[in-house]
Amino acid sequence: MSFFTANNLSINFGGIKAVDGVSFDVEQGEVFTIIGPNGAGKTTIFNLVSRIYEPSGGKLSFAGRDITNVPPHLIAALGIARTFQNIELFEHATLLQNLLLARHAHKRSSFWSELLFLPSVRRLEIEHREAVEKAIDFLDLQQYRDSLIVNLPYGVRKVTELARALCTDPRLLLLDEPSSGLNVEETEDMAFWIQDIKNVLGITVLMVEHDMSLVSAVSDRVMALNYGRPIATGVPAEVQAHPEVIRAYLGG
Amino acid sequence: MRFPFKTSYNQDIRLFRDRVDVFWYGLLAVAVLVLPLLMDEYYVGESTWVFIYGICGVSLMVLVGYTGLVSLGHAAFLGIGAYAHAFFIMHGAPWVVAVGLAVAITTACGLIVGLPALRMTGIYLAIATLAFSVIIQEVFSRWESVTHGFAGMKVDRPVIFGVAFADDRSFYYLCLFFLVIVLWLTRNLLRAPTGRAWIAIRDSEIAAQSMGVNLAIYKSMAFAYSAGVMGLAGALFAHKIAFLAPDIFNILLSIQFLLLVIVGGLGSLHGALFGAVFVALLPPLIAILRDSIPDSMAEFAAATGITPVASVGAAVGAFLAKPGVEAGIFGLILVLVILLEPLGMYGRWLKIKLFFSTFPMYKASTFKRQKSYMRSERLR
Repeated sequence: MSFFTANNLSINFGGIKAVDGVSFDVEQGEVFTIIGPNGAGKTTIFNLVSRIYEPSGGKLSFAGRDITNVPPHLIAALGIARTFQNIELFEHATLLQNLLLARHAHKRSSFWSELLFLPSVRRLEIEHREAVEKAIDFLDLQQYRDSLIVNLPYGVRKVTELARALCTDPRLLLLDEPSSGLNVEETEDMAFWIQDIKNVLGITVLMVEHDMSLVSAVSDRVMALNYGRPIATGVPAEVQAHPEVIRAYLGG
Repeated sequence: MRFPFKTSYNQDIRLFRDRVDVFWYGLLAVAVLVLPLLMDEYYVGESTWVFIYGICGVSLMVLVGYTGLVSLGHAAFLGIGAYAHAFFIMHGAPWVVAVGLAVAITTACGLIVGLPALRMTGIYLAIATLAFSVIIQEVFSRWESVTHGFAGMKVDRPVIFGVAFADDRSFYYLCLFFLVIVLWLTRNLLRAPTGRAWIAIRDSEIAAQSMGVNLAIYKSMAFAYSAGVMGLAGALFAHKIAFLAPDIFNILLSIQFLLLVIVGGLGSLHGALFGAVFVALLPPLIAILRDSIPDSMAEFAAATGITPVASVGAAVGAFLAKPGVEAGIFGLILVLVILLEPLGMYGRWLKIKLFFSTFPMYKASTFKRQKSYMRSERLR
C-alpha cells in the first residue's frame, strides 16, 4: 500500500468530465509532479484531494486510511496541507497571524479558556508561535512578520503560502504551481526549498507545475495529464520525451 | 519615535503592547472614572450611551468586522435582550440572574439565526437577518403576555445585590464596567485561535477550511457570541431607556449599528468605540449647536453691531431644528467616510498616531491609495 493513492478518481461538472478515472500512487518521501496543458484537470485533482470537491467516483487513501469521505476541515489534521494557485492568504491579517492560523488543526484550547485567556491558552499560543518561527526561519520571512499581507509583494506572498502550509506540520504537501508569477531567481529559491522540504523536513510533496526546468530539477516522478486522463507517468525525462505528451502540448 | 524591542513571544500576546500603552490607557481610565464627578448629570447620562453603544459596537464588530458576516438585524437581538431582561426582573428574578438569562436567550437566538448564515453570505445574509428582525419586531408587538405589546413596559433602574443604581452617575459606572468586561473578553478571543479563525473566514473561507477551520462551527460561534453581547447591551439599554416599546427595535436602529462599525473602522475594537462615541454623541452635539449657535451669534451681532450675523445664526439654528436633519448629517458623514477614509475613524486615528510618532519625518504619501491590480487591492 502506497503512502497516498488515488484510485480511479473522477469528477463531472455538468456534462464535462474534468477528471476521468485518474489513478496514481505517491510514495513516502518523493516529489510527485502532475503536469499537463491548461484545463487538463490538475488543480481539480488538488481540490479533490483536499476534499473541497466531492468526487463523482473513485477512492482516495492516505497513510493507510480511506479519506474519500473525510470533511475538508479535517484534512489538515490528518497531515495534508496545500497552497493555492491564486494565493488565498488572509490578506487583512499580518503574516504572523496567517501562519498561526495554520496551527488551527493542532488547536487544543477550549472556547471558555480562550474567553478568559487562561495561562494554559498563553502556553499553547507560545508553543504555536515556536512552531511558526521554525517555518519563518526555514523560508527567511523574518522581516515580514508583522506586515499585513496586502502590503507584501507577490513573491513574498507566494513564499508565505508555502510557510503557512508548512506550519500545519504536514506529512503530504500539495503545491499548486509554486513557481507561477515568480522570476527566475525566486523560482530557483523555490526549487531549493522544495528539495529541502523533501530531504530535510522529510515531507512528501505532490505538485502541479508548468515550469519544466523546476519540474525536472526536483521531481522524482511525473504524471502528464490531458483532458482529465493520465497519458504518461515516469521519471521527468521519460515523460517529457513521451510522444503523447508532446502531442498534448504542441498539438498534431 | 518608538522602536519595539521584542525579546519574548509573550510580548506579542500581551493585552497592552508596552509601558507607553499602559500609561495612555491608564490615563484614559482615570479620565472616564473622574469625568462624571465633574460633569453635569445630563452629560453623564448622554455619555452612558457611549458605553451602551460601545457594547453594541463590539458585538457587531465581531460579526461584521472580524468574521465578515453582515447583519441588518442586530436591533432584534438588542430587543430580545432588553425584553428578556425586563420580563425576568418584573417576575422577581435577581438582577444578575435576569441579565444572565437575557444573555443566554439572545445567544440561543443568535445560534438559530446563524444557521442560515452557514449557507449565505453578503447581501443574502443581510436580507435574511433583516427578515428576522422584522419578524421579531412583530413578535414584540403581538406577544402581549410577555412584552405588553404597544402598551409598553416600564423598566426601573437596576438594583444589584441590594445596591440601587438609581442616579445617572452610578448607572454610568455600571455600564462602563460591563463595557470593559466585554472588551476584555472579546480581545481575549481575538488573540486566541478562535479570533484568528474568524479573521480567516472573513478573508478566505476556502483557505480557512483547508487549514482545519470548521466553517459551520466558527460562523455560528461568531453569530452566537455577537448576539450574546448584544443581549447584554439590551439589558443595559432597557434600564437606560426606561420604557420598552416594540417600535424602538426597528431596522433604523440596526442600520445605525452598522453605520457605527463602518464609521468607526471595520476590523478593530478601537473602531467600535470610536463609532460609539460618534453615534452616541452626535445627536446631543446637534442639539447643543441648535441652541447655542443662534444665541452666541446674536450676542456677537449685538456686541459688534453687524446685524446680519444674528439672522445667519437664527437660520442655522432653524435648519438644525428641522426634522430629519440629524439623519441627514448621519448619512452625509457615512458617505464622506466611505469616500475619504475607508478604514473609518480608526484609520484616521492611526494616521494621527503615526504623524506624532514619526514627527518630523512623517510622509503624507505613506497612506496614499493607489490603483493596483492585486486581488486584495481591488477589494479595498
